[in-house]
Amino acid sequence: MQNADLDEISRRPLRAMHADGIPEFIMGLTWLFWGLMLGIPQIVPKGAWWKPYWLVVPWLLALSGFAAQWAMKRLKERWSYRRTGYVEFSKTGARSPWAAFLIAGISGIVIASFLSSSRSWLDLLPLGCAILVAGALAYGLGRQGVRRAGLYAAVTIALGICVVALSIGIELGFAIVWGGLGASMSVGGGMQMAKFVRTHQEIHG
Amino acid sequence: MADLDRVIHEPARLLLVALLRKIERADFVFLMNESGLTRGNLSSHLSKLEEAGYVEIEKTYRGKVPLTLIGLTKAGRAAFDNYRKQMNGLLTRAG
Repeated sequence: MQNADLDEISRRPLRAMHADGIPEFIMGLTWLFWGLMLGIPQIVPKGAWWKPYWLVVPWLLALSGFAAQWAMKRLKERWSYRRTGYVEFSKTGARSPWAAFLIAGISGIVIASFLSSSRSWLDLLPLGCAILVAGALAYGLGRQGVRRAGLYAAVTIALGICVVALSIGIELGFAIVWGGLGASMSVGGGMQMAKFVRTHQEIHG
Repeated sequence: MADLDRVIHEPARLLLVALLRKIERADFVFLMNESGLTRGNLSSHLSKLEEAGYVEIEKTYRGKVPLTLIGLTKAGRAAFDNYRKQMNGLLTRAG
């Protein structure tokens, strides 16, 4: 066996993690939630709640990440482990939840302070983030064998371009990018989950 | 060639060790699915790896269902990395 073969074999557990579509589905729902959190204030008239809302939202977004991890584990226990087996990946360091909360807190303060300043250049942020996310999706998910990774990346960039071309603005722009990406991923993941359950029998070992 | 670790050099066991290299642990079902080995064959290869101290096997339950978890030990990881280096050296010298 060549080293390249051994590398490919070592990556199989990571690929197997996505075979059931559950990570895609949960990630999609999480981003859809992010889109809603960012989009709701655009349809509700601004008021005294505006600044406190943006201080709270980053915490909710960070919490949604942990909720997503929990939901993914439960769904995998229910649907996946009995069919294709269980894999335990290296645990994240104990510091990472605190780091996420710290980043969320700082983001909240930065967003809230920018909201009251001049922000024409900020309107380009959704496209910038869309390009970064698309790159991460294409590389990360593609390497893990998710066949729709390229499609998700294309959807993200297309949404980012639309947001800038139509001068939609930063808040609604992010809402559209996250919401659109989340919707497409949850549909793709849901379809993969249905196919996985149909084609894999339960095995006990 | 004489220095090669015979426990890992066997293709089925090399496949198992490579599957376990980048993860903490996997269960019996996962290894069976990915390796294409039968239950009996897989058990036998895992026993040999366990005897060599390369894997740790934990038998437990998930609810009422038996669950066998397998993970590489430090010695197993080191043996695999060392094997790769040796093979790399051999292939470079050969070609």
